[in-house]
Amino acid sequence: MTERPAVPSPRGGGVPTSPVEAYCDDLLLALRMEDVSGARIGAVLAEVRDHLAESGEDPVEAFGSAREYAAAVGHGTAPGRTWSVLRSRAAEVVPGTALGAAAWWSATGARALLDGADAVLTEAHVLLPLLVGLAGPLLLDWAVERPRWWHLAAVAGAGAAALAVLHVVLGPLVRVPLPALAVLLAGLALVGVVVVLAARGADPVVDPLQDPRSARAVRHRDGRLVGALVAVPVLAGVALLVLVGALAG
Amino acid sequence: MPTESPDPQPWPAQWLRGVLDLSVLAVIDRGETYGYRVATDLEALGLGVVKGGTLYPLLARLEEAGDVSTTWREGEAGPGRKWYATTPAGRERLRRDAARWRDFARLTSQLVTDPVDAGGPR
Repeated sequence: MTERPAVPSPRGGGVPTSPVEAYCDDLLLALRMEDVSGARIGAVLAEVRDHLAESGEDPVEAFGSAREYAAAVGHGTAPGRTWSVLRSRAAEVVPGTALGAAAWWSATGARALLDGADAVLTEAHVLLPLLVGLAGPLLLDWAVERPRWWHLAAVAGAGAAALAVLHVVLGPLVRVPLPALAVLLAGLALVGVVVVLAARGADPVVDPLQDPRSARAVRHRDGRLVGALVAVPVLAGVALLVLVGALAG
Repeated sequence: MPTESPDPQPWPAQWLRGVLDLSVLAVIDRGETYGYRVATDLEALGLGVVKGGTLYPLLARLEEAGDVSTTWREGEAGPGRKWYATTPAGRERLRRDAARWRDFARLTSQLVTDPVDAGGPR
């Protein structure tokens, strides 16, 4: 069987793109926003390309705008709209919250370890990452003009800001001293769990005629890339927090 | 003398909506085929132009319902091509729904075409 590229229509830098490929690029993004799986996206793009290659029709004339067509495909394949939206929202909120908490706990533990003291966790170590994690999707929705559940994200963002201000002005309400090494290891373990889950959840766009072995290789490659993209900024963030804490102290 | 091209939408969309899935299933039942050919067959049969944006989600629903089976093969022009064939369940659905459609069409035809005494109170 013929080996095919993982993403069927890479837009080459500086290379002029045909209207069909430009439409497929827009459709790919719109289908991702509809939480359509990579395998299904590959199949939809192949069908669109085949239809347009034979008919010679204008993509928008034949299929409607990329967003409209993605919505038609997404609605047709979602197992249950409400459940699907809830699940995709949770998939956006939980990893961000966990990573925020993990980075902060790791930094707090590392800083305390350097000082030879206990690490002190406060209510902000839990609430602030949660509120920021909830507010994060607001930015995403705004960026892609998909105003779903933005009210909740706005309330969470306002809550995070209010909590941060109160924390600075009044100091922590709850203080829990814990062994520094335990807090550091717990934070790093949580980073590891999120990185592994993100890597395993990599869902590349696969052409329907791609052979299974090369599709698996692409999935593993994308998994490693996603894992690195998650781990490197978080660990850099931890190092930065420790450095800032050391300089401030 | 210039020839007039056929009307791309000869029927109200509302009419077509009710019978399009059955029509597509009937076209596929004539022999294994692919998306664009289904669209051209429907047009040649006089049902008008069915856009890809309408046709492919409908084909996906037929596949999901188990009425058609699909196979990917290399296409002539480069991209892969998805071929559709009716399954035994799809043929059974076609037979059942076609019979019901005949009854429905006969009833509605009678209703809208047979003259009645109009004008007086009922």
